[in-house]
Amino acid sequence: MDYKFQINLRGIIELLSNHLYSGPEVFLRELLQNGVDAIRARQNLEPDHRGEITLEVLGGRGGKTPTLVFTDNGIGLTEDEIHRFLATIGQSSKNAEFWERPSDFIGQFGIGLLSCFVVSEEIVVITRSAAPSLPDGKEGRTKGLEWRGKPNGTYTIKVIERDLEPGTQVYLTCKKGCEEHFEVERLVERATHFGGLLPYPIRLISGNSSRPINAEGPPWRRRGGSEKARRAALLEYGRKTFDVDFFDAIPLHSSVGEVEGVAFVLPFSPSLATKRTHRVYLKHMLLSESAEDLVPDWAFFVKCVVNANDLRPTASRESFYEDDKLASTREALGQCLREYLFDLAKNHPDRLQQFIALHHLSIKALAVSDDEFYRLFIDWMPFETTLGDMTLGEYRKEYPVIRYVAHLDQFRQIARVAAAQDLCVLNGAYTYNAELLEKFSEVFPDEQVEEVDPAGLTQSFEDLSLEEREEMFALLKSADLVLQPFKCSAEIKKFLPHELPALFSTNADAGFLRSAEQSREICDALWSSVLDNLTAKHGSDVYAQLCFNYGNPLVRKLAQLRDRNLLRRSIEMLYVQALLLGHHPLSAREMALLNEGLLGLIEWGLNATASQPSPPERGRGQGEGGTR
Amino acid sequence: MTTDYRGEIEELLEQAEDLPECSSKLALLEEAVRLADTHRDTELGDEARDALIQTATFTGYPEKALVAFSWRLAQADRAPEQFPESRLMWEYKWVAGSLTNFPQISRRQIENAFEDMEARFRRSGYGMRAIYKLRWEAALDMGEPDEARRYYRLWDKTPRDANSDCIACEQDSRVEYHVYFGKHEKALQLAEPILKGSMSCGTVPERTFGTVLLPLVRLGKVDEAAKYYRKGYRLASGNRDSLDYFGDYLTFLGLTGNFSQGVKLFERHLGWAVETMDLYARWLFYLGARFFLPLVAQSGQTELKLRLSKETPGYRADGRYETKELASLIDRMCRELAEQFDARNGNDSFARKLDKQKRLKRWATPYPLQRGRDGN
Repeated sequence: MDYKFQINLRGIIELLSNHLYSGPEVFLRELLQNGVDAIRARQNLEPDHRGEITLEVLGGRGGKTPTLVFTDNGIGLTEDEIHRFLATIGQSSKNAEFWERPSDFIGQFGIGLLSCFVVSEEIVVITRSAAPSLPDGKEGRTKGLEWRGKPNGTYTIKVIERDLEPGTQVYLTCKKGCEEHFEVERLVERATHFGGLLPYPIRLISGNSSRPINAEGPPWRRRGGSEKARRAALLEYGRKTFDVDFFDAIPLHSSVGEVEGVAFVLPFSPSLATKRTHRVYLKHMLLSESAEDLVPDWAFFVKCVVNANDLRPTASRESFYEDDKLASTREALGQCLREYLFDLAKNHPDRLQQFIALHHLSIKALAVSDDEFYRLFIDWMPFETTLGDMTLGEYRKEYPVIRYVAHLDQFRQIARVAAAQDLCVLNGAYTYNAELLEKFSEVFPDEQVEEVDPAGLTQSFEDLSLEEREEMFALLKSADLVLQPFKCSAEIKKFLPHELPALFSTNADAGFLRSAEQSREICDALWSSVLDNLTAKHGSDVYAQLCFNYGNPLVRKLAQLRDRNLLRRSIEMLYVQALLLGHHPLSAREMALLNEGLLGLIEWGLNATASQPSPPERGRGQGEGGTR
Repeated sequence: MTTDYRGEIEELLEQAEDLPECSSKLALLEEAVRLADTHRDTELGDEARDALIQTATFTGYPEKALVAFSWRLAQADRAPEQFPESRLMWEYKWVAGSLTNFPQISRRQIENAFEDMEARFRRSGYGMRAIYKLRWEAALDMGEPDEARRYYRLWDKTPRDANSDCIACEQDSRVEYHVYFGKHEKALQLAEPILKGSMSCGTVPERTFGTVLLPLVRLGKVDEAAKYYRKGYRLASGNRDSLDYFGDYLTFLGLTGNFSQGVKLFERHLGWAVETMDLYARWLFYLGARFFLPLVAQSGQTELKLRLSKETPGYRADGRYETKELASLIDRMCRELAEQFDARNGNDSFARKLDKQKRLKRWATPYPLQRGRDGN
């Protein structure tokens, strides 16, 4: 009898192109999926049934068109069911939910079969149902059936009189241009790729050879042997699968989602800019090699391979569907990783050290949101300080109060000064550092944490005595005047190192103003007016500060200077020098100060020497500044 | 000072490249800019700013993007052969699009910027589509619906070109436009390809998840809204650039009676709102809080225990805040911001938003979210 597909053709095209997204070889995945589903369905009827799948390549040599015969000993199809799966194909385009793959085996079968048209002009299905005959006992129900379909939408069904074992055989005849998909090596490779973990034996037969595809099963399922041997086996599997010698292998399991698998610890520090992806299997069939969001965000140190029996795939089948179940699974898997880290900390401190060298960012990321974890790990975490790199534990042994700065430029500003006075300040600028340090007093309420404001740092310097202040008064007053156009105030304190005449400090706001000034002075009218307005709100109270060092001999001499021009020039030069020391870019006006100042000082020096009988000899100069 | 500052800058840029868009990355790039400027190296200064503008834009520091961009533009004007301006036209969109967010920037200046942009786009051979979009978005932000409609139509008619926003961003903007005009069903229909996952980019779908929350509640689809809230918050919770739609999150959590989640969100992100120079983002966040906090008070929680930063107005060292007091503080700050924006815009659209806000209450639909999951 002849029938016609009742199909919306647009739907098929959409379907195929959606599948084609990951390449024509998905037809093999679909065949495997159909075979496995059929075996599972049969096992529901006959629990002791042993499933089996065979792929056989016929022809293909000497220019003969190759044929792939895919055989499963699953439940098979009745004639009614054949009509039903075809109907499902017809509906596919109308039903958006379809993409989420109904658990209906028959509908799934039809969709899977359809993808075979990508590589085959004609599909032949020979099938016999293992289902017991229905009460009405219609003819043909338990007999074998042959279905022959063409992509133009026509198909035939006929009854096969000879006796058949229950199950299904699909015959695909290679389409021109698709030969590569029928090559034996390629089929072995792809079948292993998709079905390497399937629980039923799969073989590939060609000529006289028969090759097992999935002899080994999931590596995390292997029992027996010592823990060490199991770990070695997992690492070996990781090496084979990803061609990477991983640092470690962590077994994963979650009862929610029925997930089992392994997390491989990367042997290098990963880039935080890329999302970590994982290889995931759904009911032991490969779902995706690049699933995201399987483990919590902080776990960027692992590459996972897992099988889930009870999670939903997304429509595109690239990942699991984001729902409460996945969220709980993620938590459970995160818990496995967390326990691994706890175990390292408790039992393998040496290994933990190595781990931290690679992955401290992961630990920091977790510690930010997990108090218990924080408590255990924070002392292991490395930080940059003004006195060199050290762990927070080492720091805390020496210093009772945790002092840190939050920004990199602030750290640069104070590093030298702080180091000179043995003040150890942590750099909070790098990823997670500031958050971690802020959190410290929350987790340990009795401990003291202070964010150091670089402007505030100068406040901690030693004040001058009344007499000393008087000595410095004129200098301070001139400095305030000279620096006023640069929105900078002056101060004098005592600090180390003595060779530093002055320290320039800003806070974040003043820093922003400086950067706006860099732009403003080269911009056209439109943008400089925009920048003016943008920064207007900051008002005049945002002042940077130049703090002179009373301990510096040059500064003391300056205070005695009566030549007002020279004094102004010297202050300007100290200001510019302090800016440069702190890596602050000079504005055009500041650059002009530098140029004029240098020329002015040279001229002044020349004049001074010209008025003397002979210039002072090299190497026997009169100390800094060329004093009279 | 090291002589090999170029190596140092390149290392900073490389380190930055390895990081996702975050404030640490921004700090590295700022350091690179500073170093380049210190050595008066315009070439590296330009390169570092290029990266900085993107990071600043997508981590919620539009003022830093603006400052760096104006510098690049000036360099392009000074040495057009060395720094061709056409390379700047993509980021010009980000910067021009943020101008309305600063009430201290005048209408005249905004208009001038659009005109400048048009001239430069023409010189670089780009069509006007991207600018029309910016113009209708700006008109919406400044409370001028007629102007917005006019530019929306122009935008729709103008073909896409290489400098148009990506398809996902354009679609997301269409959704926002329709939400603004109260066309909720149409908005959701437009949002569908994004919500289904067939359109996405760096900021979509997160942004769209935020935009559709309230329309969904209004159409009685609270369960769907809850789903997008959860997804969206997970994706966006670490990024300050999301501050502007967290206000809608607060409104949503208020409408659905999820007070403890809302209080957590408020506590966690209030610091960003206080800190940011993007006053429009601050306004949107405060606006959500202004709706949310009185509902919390009504539910019987008269006092909140919050860990807020010291810079927060009304900060208390003991962390105990009276809900009502906090609500009226937020209300006051909303009014101040509304005044600033309305003064700039020359209308009363912000003040009217405040007046109309309580009408939202009639859409209240209790819908308890699961707790203890994914950032909640």
